[in-house]
Amino acid sequence: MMIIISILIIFYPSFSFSEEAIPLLPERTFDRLIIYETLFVIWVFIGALCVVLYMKLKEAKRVEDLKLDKEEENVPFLE
Amino acid sequence: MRFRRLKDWFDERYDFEEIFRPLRRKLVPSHKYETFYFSGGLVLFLFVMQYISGYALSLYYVPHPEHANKSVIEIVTKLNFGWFFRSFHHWCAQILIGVLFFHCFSTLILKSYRKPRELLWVTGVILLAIGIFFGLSGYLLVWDERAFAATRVATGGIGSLPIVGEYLKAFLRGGMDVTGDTLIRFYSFHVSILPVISIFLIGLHVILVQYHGMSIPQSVDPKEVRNVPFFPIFFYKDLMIWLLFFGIIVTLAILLPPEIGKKADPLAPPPENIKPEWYFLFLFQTLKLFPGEIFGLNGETLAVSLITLAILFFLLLPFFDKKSSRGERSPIFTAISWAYFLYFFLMTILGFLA
Repeated sequence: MMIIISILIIFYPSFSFSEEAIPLLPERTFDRLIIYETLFVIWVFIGALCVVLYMKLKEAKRVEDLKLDKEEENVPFLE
Repeated sequence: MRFRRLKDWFDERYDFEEIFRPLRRKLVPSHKYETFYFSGGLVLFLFVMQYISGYALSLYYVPHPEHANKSVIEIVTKLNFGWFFRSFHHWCAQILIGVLFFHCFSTLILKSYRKPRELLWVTGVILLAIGIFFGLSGYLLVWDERAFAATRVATGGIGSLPIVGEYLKAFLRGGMDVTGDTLIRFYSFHVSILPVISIFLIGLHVILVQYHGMSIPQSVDPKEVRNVPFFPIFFYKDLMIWLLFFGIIVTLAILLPPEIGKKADPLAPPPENIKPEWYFLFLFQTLKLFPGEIFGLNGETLAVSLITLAILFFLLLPFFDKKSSRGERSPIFTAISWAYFLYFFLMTILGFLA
């Protein structure tokens, strides 16, 4: 990950193809590093959320398969 | 305590349990093609993302030929996170149109348009057209040389339609040529007219999906289908896909921000190798196939007329496919569906490589 970030920081100007070289991202190297770090954190956050959702999905499927979410029929009312 | 009182206030007036009961009971058929169902929810999510990022950009964009390009540069260079919102809006639009095409072609090939879902198909195709027009109108707003030349080509093509072509071209351009009036007109389409129409059509489309339920492909044996509740099983899967796409768009927005060219100059010659956006490439490539004159008729007029007829047939396809409506197999329409998909796919690739 650090290698990819380093390559992006070093070679970024070659990705920019604007004729007037309008900076399309903040120009300072430090700012760019923060941006790529944030991107990394976003992906970690998305990964963690997906794991949580997957676990919740597994639990919902288990409840569905056991029919725990269905009301039992002909249950007598208790006074 | 305050929230409890607020909740009680609403509970006294509205029966939320009753209102949300249909959503809780909503079932989704589970089978080997269920993956295609997620594209619809994804389109909805991407439209919402576009509205949010678009609202943020519209606070600073100036729709005037003298200031438009400068205001975009200022959004990117001077505003906090301006560069991110612009880039996000751009990439979200590209992916939205891609997913719209995927959703449309999957519906076509799986024949989900068949009776009683004809209106669902019609609203969906109109939404696809609106999505493309969103792209076209948004592209000009940068007001740089490339956008200016591409808009001139795109609106010029419409002018080749017989009878109504010139009127349509003048209506879109706000005059005979692409000028500052076109910019203001496209801005109006992009931020007020198209959003209102799209919100109405998305609402209608979603209501119709709820009313008819999900379509099960004809090739699937009904005995193999198992109904699963939308909440929470299908919804969790939807959320995971939305999150993944959000991550992809953010990554593209950061790594590949869209360029901003020189301010448009109506008197300057168009830049070389002008190509339309990728979703117009198949039309662009089709126009190239036709010679200048065929049997004494203008080749471009003939090409645009044939394309219009093909689009009309595409829109009204459910009304022609009678066999599918009766629940029978219709191999001719399966072949037509694949032909539409392959033509779009191959022409886009050819246009990209040309």
